[in-house]
Amino acid sequence: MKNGALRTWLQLLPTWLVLGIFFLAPMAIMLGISFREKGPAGTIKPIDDMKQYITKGTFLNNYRESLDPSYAGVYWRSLWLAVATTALCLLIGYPVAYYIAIVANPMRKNLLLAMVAIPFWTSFLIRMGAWKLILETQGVLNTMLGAVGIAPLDMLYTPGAVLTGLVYGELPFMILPLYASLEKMDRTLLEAAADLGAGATSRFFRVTVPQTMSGIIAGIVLVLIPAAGQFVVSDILGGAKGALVGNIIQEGFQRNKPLKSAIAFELTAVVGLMLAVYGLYLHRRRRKEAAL
Amino acid sequence: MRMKFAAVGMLVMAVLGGCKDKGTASTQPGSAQGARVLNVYCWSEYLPQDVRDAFTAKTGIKVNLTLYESNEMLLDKLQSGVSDFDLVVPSDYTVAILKRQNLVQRIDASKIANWKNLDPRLLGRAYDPKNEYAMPCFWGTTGIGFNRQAVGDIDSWKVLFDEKNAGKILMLKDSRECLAVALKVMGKSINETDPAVLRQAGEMLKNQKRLVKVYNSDDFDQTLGRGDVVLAHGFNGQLAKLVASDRAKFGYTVPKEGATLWIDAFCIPAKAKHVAEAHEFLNYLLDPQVGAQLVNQVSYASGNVAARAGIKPEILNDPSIYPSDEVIKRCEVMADVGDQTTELIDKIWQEVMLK
Repeated sequence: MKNGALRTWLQLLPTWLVLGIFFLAPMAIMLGISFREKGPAGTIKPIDDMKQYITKGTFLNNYRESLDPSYAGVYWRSLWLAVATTALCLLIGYPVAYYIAIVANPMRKNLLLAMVAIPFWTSFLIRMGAWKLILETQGVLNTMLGAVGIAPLDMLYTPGAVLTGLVYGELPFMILPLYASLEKMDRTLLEAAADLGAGATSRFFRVTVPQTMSGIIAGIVLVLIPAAGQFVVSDILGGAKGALVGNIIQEGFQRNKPLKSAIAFELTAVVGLMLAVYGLYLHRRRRKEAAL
Repeated sequence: MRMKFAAVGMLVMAVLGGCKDKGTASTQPGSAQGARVLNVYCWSEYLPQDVRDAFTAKTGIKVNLTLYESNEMLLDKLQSGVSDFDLVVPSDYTVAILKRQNLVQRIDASKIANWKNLDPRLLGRAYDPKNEYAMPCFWGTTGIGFNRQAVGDIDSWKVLFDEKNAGKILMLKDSRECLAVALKVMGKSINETDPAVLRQAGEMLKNQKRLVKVYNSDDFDQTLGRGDVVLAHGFNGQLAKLVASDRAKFGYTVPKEGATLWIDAFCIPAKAKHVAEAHEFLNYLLDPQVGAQLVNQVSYASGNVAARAGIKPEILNDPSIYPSDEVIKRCEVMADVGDQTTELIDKIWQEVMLK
C-alpha cells in the first residue's frame, strides 16, 4: 500500500515538476512582482519597511492603478472583441464542423481536417501581415472592390480589422473540438427523433446541440481565453485606437514590471474564473451522466 | 532603433518577395576553442554579412551577431547582467543611461588608429561629452515623410495636429519622439524636464490622438508608401528609401521648428570579455573603404567622414540621408532626462495610449 502510494507519487513527479517550474513558479514570481513598486529604469524598488508596506496598503498600489477609470476603455474593447470573436467563431465554426463530421464523404474527412490545420504551418505573424496586405487602402480587397466600381473602404486599423484577424486566427480552435463532439454523437437518436415526428430544426436544437454541448463549451473556452489576451493581432491591424489589454501589458513591460504584472495577473484571474466555471459545468455534467 | 523592421514586415517580404539576406541571421555568442571571437549585439541591417566576413578573413576574429529592435531591449539585456556581449550599439540617450549605470567601459581611442576619421559634428555631444564611451556609427534625423500629391510641400510639425489630415497621420510608437514633436511645436527643447510643460505636451498628444490612424515604429515607410496614411512621423533612413523610389510623389522634411538628431554609437559593455577584439573591429569599421561599403549597402549616414569619397553620390547628395549643416543646427540630440522625468514621460505616454 505504502509502496503503491510512493509509486503513484513518482509517476506524477514529472508532471508536477514541469507544471511547477514552467507554470506555478513564474506565476508566483509575477504575483510577487505585482505587489512591489517600480524603481528607476525598469528596476524594482526595494521595500524599506515591510510592516508599513503592508499596513498602509502600498502593496496594492498597482492593482489600484490598474482599476483606474482611464483603463475602462481598453478593458471594455478587449471584452467585447473577445466575446464577439467567440460568437462569430461559433457561428462560422459549427456549420463547418458539421459538414466535415456528418455531411462530407468519409473519404474526404481527413483532407478537410488537414485543411483546417494547414494554416498552422505558417507563422501567425506572417498570416497577420498578410491580412494587412488584404485590408489596406490599396490592398487586395480594395483592388477587387475597385474592379467592380466600389471606392476604397477604410478597413485596416479599425476594430473590424482586429475582429477579422481574431476570428481568422481562432477559428480552428473552435472547429476542432466541435468536430470531435459531432463525430462521436449518437446519430441513432436523430433517427429516433425523426420517427417521433421532430422536424429538422427541432432535431438540431433538441438532439444535436445538447449532444455536442461539451464541444461547444470547449470551443468557447479555447477561443475566448486567447482572444482576451491577444496583442499581436491588435498591434498589427488595430491602429491608434485599437489597443487591447494585451497591448497595455506588453508595451513598456520592461519599464514598469510591477504594474504590468498586476494587470497580467488580473487577466489571468478573470480567465481562471472562466475556467473554474467551465470545470464546475463539466463536473456537474459528469455527475448527471453518472446518475443516468 | 531607426533600423528595426517589424518581424512581420520582414517575414511577409521574405515570403512574398524573397528578400535577400541583410545580415539578419543571429548566431549564438560563444567561443570556439583557441579562435578569437567578438560578440556583437546590434540593430538589424547595420552590419551586413560581407562586411563581417571580410573582417574575419582579415583578422581571424569570428563575429557573432545577435539582433535587437529597441533600446529598451538592449537596456534590459545589459541590466540583467547575464549577457556576454563585447559590442553594443545604443542610441544617444541610451548611451547616457548605460554610462550612468556603469554598464559600459571606456573606449581606448589610442588603440583605434582610424579614430581621426570620425565626423567632428557628432563628437562631444551631451550623452558623451568627452567621447570616452561611445563611437558614433550611423546617424540621422526624425522628421515627416509625406505624400506630396495629398498634402503638397510641408515644412512644419503643425500638419500633424491639423484637422484637415484627420485619419491620415502615422506617429512613431515612441514616447520620447512623440513628445519631442509636441515640445517642438510649443517651441521647447526635446529634452524638456519641466513637469508642467511635459504635461501640456502630453495633453497635445492626447488631443491629437483622434487624428492619428496608427502608431508604428516599424514599417512606417510602407504604411505611407501604400497609401494608408499621407503623413508619417518617422526616422529618415527608411523614409529616404521611399522618397528615392518616387520623388514626384513622396517627400521627407525635417520641420522648421527643429527635430531630433539621432546618433547610434558603438559601446563596449563593462563586462565584455573580448575588449581587444572590440577595438580592432571598431578600427576596421572606421576604415575609409569599409565605411563606404557599409553606407552604400545600408543607406544610412555614417560617422566615418573619410568614407565619403567612396560613397555613391546619390546617397551622399540625398538631403534626407545626409542633411545640410543648417538642418543639423536646428536639430537636438536626445539626452538622458533622468529617472524622475523618464517616469513622468512613461506615465504621460501610458495616458496617451489609453485615451
